[in-house]
Amino acid sequence: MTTSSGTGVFFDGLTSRRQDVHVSLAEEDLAVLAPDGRMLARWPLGQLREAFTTSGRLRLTRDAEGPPARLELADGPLADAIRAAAPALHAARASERTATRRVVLWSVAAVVSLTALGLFGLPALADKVAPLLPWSVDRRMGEVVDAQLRYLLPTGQGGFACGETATEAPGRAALDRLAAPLERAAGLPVPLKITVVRSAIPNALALPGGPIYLFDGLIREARSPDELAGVLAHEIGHVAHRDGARRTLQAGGLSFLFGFVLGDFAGGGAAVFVARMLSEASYSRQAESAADGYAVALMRRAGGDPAAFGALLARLTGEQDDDGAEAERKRSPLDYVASHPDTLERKRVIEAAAGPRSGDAAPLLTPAEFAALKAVCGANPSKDDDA
Amino acid sequence: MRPLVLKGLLLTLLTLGVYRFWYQTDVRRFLWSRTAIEGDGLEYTGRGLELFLGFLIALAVLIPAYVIIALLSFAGGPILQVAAQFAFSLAIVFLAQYALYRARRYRLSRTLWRGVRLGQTGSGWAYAGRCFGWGLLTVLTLGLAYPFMRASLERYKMNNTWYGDQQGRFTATGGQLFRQGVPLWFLVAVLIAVPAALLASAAANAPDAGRELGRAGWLGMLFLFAAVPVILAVMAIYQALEFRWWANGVHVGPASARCDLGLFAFLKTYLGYVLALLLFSIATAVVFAVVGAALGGTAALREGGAPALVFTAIAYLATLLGYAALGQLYVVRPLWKKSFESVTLTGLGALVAAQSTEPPANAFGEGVADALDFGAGF
Ligand SMILES: [Zn+2]
Repeated sequence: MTTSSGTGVFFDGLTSRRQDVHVSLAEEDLAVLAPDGRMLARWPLGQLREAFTTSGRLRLTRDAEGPPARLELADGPLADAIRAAAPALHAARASERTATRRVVLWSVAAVVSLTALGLFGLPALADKVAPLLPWSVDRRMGEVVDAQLRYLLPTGQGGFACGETATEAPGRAALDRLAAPLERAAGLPVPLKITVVRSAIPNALALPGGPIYLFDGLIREARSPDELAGVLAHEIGHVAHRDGARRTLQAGGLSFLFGFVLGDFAGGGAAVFVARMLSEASYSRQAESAADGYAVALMRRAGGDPAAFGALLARLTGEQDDDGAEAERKRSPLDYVASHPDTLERKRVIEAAAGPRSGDAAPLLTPAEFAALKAVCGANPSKDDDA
Repeated sequence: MRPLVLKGLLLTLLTLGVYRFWYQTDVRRFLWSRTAIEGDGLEYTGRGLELFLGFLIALAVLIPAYVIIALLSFAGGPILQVAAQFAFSLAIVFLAQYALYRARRYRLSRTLWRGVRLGQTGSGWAYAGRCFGWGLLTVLTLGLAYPFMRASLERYKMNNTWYGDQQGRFTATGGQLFRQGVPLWFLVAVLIAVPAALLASAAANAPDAGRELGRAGWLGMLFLFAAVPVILAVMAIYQALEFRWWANGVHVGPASARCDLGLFAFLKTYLGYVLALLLFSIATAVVFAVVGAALGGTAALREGGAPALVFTAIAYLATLLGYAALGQLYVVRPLWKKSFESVTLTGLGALVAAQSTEPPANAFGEGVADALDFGAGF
């Protein structure tokens, strides 16, 4: 092996003194000599490492305990000779590359397992935990959601809830009459609390702990009292199954899992969003068919037409031909139907479960009562204030 | 620097953020190395793994605290809930200041110049306490105490900053910063007060919930919209002014800094960034519209379902990546460069430091700051 020598700059790591030095490359090591010939350092070639620099020079350090000494050499024959002679010069960089690859692989694996946990583990956990919670916890969750909804939801003029003024009171009374047999038949451990929301969106939802929101848009869409009773029965099903608490637990767990553990910086937020959408969609389908089944049974016990709800559903999504165009226009991301997919399939299942209807059953409300209920938010359709 | 940023951000996205510690390390190594003092560049010796471990340790401390507080506020009534939320927010701000101080210590002790490490002494809690007290005073004085807060905090930081065995000092005063900054304060005060007064008078004249804005109201709104960019520009000017004030007060041992940064230097950088942002936004909007149309029209996407979700997710991530890269390339890097190029150091010949015996600090502070989303930046 040829030996080579040249000049460089040396920092001994003890003081900040900049020393111009003579460097000589030997078989076993690299010697750093002061101008007067004094030996400043002798670094074994196996311990030589390259430190990071963008200056284009070769910046050397030694992989050993001790002060952080640095030796800088201009690019040239000596630097090339050292690069050729020192076996582990790039060891640090190579091990770093391996480490990076390992980090990326492991975190992709972690993302996959977290996603699996979010999609399957959390719903299962929520299923187990939700029935164990006391109803007071459900109610507190419901209060939080209720406050948010009242704040966020655009509603028509005249207040959030319909049926509170003298002119609207008959509609309210009709609704209570419609709900009474359902509540009796359901036998929930909490009192049923139904609010009619002054909003043109055709929607209905059950909050954790029992409150049910029935939107004016949906009431106007109904053609018979039994259709509305079916909607209520479906929402009572959500309450009985404690789907609201389940969903809140699941959403909270997901936000915690992704938002906090992974950090919201670049990607974390997106992950929460995607995971939430996916799990809510897959979760809804199960919960919805369970609530549909519950609704059919409850309607039968209350003496209503269990199949009417299916007809309303199909009409809402516009999957039936008669007034499809109108239904299409009313669709919005907030809609009742958006999270209730495969409506025709649901209608089929509901009708199959309902069986043939015995023709002599009386409707749940008289025509006059039904008319009053249709006008519970005033005679004219409520318009969204700022929509 | 472009390949480094793009590769780092892409891997950060792929790993849902875990790679960010290695990315940050790469960026710092690059920026440090590009900063040469008397011909010798700084060297950043920190490692991604250290930051990652610091983050994990921070999580081990913070997660139980989060859970306990969440349970407590859930068990209590609504009043306790609000009180707990408030106390919690205050605690986070306090903890973040502590963490930022500790993070500075980590970065300094991983900075090598001429073979000698920098370092920081002092206590993170004492620093956070100062921040808190001064912050309160600043709020109460509508920002007029801010220069004195900056001076006090910088004094604490610099007096505890070391280059080897050479101690730092900070000689700029709050009074200097106050005199330089107070015209800008008045400008901003006017820019906020005028539209506020106009809107208030409009609200007083039209009591029915402001449905009709009236002439004063419209004028107020117009003024407000015009004032926002001006206020942002004033902030950029103030940032340059404050940096110049700061750099002129910094000493380490016998060495001192002189800074002649132009007041509009940072503003120009931000304007370039805004332009780049605008072009990028237009370009992405066009690309996604074209791709979305090619994928079967927007109606099919609106239906929902897996393809729409995947398309949205990809669009979101790509946009995020682009914005992060623009921020790094058009803000962080140029600001860093301009700041350093505006500084000349005197007395370096007499600055000979011996290596400190203080061991390098751990990355706990960096981890806490990151977990609280108060990241110390690059
Ligand atoms: Zn449902």
